[in-house]
Amino acid sequence: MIVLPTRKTPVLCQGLTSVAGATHTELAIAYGSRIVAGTGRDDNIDRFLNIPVFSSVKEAVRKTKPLISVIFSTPTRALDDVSEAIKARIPTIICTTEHVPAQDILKMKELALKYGVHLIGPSSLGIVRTGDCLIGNIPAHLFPKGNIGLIGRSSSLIYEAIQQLAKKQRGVSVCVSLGAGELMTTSFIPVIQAMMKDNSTKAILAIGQLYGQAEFELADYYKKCRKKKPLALYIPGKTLFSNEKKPILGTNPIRPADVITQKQTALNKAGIRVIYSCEDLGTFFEQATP
Amino acid sequence: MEIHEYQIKALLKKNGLPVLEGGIAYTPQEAEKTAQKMSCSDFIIKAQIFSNHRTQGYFQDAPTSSENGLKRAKNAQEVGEVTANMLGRSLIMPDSPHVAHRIQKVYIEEFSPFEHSFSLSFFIDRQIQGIVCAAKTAQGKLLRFELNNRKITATTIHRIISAVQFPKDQTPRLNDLIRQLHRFFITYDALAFEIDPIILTHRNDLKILDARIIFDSDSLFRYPDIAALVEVKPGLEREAQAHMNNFRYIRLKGNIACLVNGAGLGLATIDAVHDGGGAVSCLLDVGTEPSKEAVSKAFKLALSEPDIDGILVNIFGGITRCDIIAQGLISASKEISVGMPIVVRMDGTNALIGMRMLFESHLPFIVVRDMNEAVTTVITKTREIS
Repeated sequence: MIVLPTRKTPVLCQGLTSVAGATHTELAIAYGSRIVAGTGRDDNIDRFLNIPVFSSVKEAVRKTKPLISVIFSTPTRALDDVSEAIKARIPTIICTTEHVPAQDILKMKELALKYGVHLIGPSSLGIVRTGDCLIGNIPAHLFPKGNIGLIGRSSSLIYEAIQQLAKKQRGVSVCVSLGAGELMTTSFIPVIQAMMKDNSTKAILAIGQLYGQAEFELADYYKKCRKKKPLALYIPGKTLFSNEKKPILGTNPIRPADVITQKQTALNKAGIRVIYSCEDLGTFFEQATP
Repeated sequence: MEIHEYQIKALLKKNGLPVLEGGIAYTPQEAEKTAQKMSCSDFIIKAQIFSNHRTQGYFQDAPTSSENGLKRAKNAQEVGEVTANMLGRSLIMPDSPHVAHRIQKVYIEEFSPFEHSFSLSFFIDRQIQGIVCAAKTAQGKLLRFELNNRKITATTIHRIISAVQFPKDQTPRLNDLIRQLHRFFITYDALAFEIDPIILTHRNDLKILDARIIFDSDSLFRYPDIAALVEVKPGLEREAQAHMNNFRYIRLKGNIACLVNGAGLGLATIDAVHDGGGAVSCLLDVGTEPSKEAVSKAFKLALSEPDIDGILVNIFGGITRCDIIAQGLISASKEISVGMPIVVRMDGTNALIGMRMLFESHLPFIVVRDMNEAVTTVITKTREIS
């Protein structure tokens, strides 16, 4: 399972000295996060925002033992930066970079599997534990505190979910953004495992996707789970269709509505509450939690 | 991103892959010269247009004729004549009858008859979240293999070779060719690569007769020479305009244009409009951190969308600031007169500032706070019009 941080969790920031790295690290520190080390492209800096800057992830790991690395990188460098973190065996790695080449994502995924670490992203917004700590570039000021664990893909739907929950006087204990792309690295299960053990989380709301098998795997996992918390899942995209005129040989053209219905059926059977409309994201928890 | 056949062939050749002798021509004279330089005496002239159905198309000025974008010629002079007949005319493809593909260049290739052929593809499969290799025999048998860790195994290659039933002496060369093609797909970080077909010529050579590559626009920073080949495809001008201005344009079928900030919210919005009994004509996604200019350009594209009755703007500001969105909407509406209902829903970061700006602009925005209300409003208003 992934490391769900608290303000005591030591965090490394790769790309600390970049504009995005510096901006979001300042916000994270102000929010209460414990950023113990940074790495950057600039060799001359050994301290930045009062955080020690190391020349390699390996050295940062040896000296500060971070449990999480958050990566602010460019699409051109993301594969190298993520690989460096994976090879240094940091247990949970969050990559915030958008527009990473698809084949690079596949390489990252293979490498993380080989080294037994969890890679979240690319294009993850990070993790926020409401009122406690913030890692990545989630706009934490939007989060009302509560007891719902939120797992999202697309950032815009994470915000929508918060809004829908807030309308029902519900808030978020901890939110993990898995990244919006069509290729996924860490799937729901390692996050849900961590949320099941998290005392501040009473129920879990997840946002799924048309592509991939993650929802089916989640259904299998949840069915077998002994001690479980209420879980609800929403999948957008049923009305989308493909404009592809001539599909590539061997591709199986899918009908989104059919795939989503199959996923929903599997989830329902496993005892996971299916949310059918974006406007109902907040309603399930009225019954699920006191 | 896709490129023309002649560009693919050049790229394949550069990478040591076997293609037939050929060359590009922009004029009949060039075509004739190209043909003179070639060592063969049987040519095929191929119109270079972005369509994968060249043989099914017809000329716009001769819809009943059986002519299409492919024609054979027996000598260089005839190549010139055929080219002269093709250049400047437009082809229509049956799958998109409203789009005219003007022929500006032709590829002249050696005509090579064959008895043995098969097709092969490599692509990233979003459902299995990995790479798939597929092969189709001349008899129509389809084989599909999921490639573990992006690698192609000897077993997979062996199964393809035994299925395609080429003469036995070709096995080692087929083995090498399949490996090379796989390496090519991986090297160029492509999303998909289809070779349709691979043939065995009468001279006993393996050749790639036609191929298609879908490049990953996110990886083109590694291949500036390929990125430079980007061309706007006929019928996809709006998509191209969006791409140039850092937002996404997705064409659907309906009468309401939707502008959103984020793919997930976009999908949820389309679903909600659909559930409410409406239909979305296109989705414009300005993404996480759009500039005022990008919002303005996206909104102008929505306003100029043909056959729409209304626009729904659905924004939830996280990193996105609603005041930036409002500025973009206002500046676009000042340039283009707005003759349809525009429903704007804003929430999140700076939503109140953004909404106030919209009110004070005295432009006809219908501003609401709630997504549900926004969807219902836009559907009702567009019904009043149509």
